[in-house]
Amino acid sequence: MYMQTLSFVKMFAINFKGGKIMSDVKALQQERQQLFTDLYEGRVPKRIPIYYNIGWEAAIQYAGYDLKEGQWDNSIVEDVYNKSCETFYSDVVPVAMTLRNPLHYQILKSKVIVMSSSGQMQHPEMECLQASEYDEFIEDPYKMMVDKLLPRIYEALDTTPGERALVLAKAFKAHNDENAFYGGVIGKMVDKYGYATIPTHGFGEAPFDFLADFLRSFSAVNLDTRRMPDKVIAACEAITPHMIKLLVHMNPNPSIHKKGFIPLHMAPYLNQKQFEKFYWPTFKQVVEAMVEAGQGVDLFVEHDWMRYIDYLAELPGRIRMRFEYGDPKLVKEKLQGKHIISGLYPLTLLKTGTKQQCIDKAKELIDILAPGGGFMFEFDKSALSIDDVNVENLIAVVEYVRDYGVY
Amino acid sequence: MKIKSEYYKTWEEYKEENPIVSDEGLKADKIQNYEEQMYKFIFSLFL
Repeated sequence: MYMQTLSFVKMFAINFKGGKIMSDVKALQQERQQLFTDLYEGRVPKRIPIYYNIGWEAAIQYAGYDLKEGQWDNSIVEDVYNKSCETFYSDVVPVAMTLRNPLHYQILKSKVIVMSSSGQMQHPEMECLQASEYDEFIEDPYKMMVDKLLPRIYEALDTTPGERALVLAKAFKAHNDENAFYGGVIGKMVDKYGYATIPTHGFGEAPFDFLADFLRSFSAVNLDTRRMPDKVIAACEAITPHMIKLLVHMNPNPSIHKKGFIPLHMAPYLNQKQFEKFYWPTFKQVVEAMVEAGQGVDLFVEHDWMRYIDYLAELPGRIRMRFEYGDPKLVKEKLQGKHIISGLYPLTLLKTGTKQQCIDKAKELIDILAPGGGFMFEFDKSALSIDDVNVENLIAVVEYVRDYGVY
Repeated sequence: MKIKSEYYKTWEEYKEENPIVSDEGLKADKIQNYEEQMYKFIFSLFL
């Protein structure tokens, strides 16, 4: 089986160099898609699916463009994708679509998502909701976000009602146009290279993270948990139906093969009591609503959640959990047979390790996490800059996983 | 669990205020779709 898979991949590569043969690309796409279908439906796939991509900024750099100029230039997008697709093995498009397209942030004069001098999009910590305003927020979060909070973090909206309407309309149009453009390019890559697709079906946060992230700030919300715990709980409860709407109700035809994506931020910074009181109840409600609706759940378990691994294990459904840090043996022991595990491979090793050390690490993780299925290969985080990795090590590791990870 | 906001209208609420619109054709899909898109966009600015 291993030889068949490998020879197919090589055949595809040869055919591609000489001009792609559509039927081979289609067959490759079906084979890759089947890996994820089996994984998501609880069967052991033919081999370990590789769900890996580098960040958009890293891809611009890898393609040889200046990052700052490249962020604005749609004429390079297809070339940027092609260069990574031709180099980095993955079973999905190996470049993440930018989450932070600068166009609408520029129109809005954003203070919370800003471009650095080098061209990286960054998120400075801001306290946009004041501690004294909890009650108003709890009463109607959406209204307060529109009326008061948006103008505080997007300077171009801090103006007359008329001008605000014009600015928001321009930003909305720009956001949708850019999404459509990038989505079109990704569709071309899927067809050209035969990638599997896992459609994104919503993006949201744990209610406590939503409160911490753009509204109160990570540091202020920690003070709030001590000074006004009831307000924090009420705010999380007020946010919960909105997260359920974003992750469930706005997505017709839910499926476990589509992903509602939730990056998890704050739990590792809370103690056990705080976690149980502020974080877990409303987050669990969101996940339960997604699972009940038949929606796929995709968690990026940021930082180290080993203290809370039993909570994750109790979540319903078959959830994909990408771990940043943690003990792979403990993760396997607790989640085996229920949820889908990925991550845990330290991206930093690709920069600091030798090629053999990088491959040895991949083997170590595969030997622990892959037996019995329920595992897909992914690094603990995506490269934000191409300088985050030694490209040769990256290529060696993903190709090793492809060839070694055959069941 | 449904949201309740002064700034968000369901199709039923919209129809009540605008009896000229109907469920026929694409009007419901189109008009409600813009309500949903704007809601999603506003939240994306806080995510």
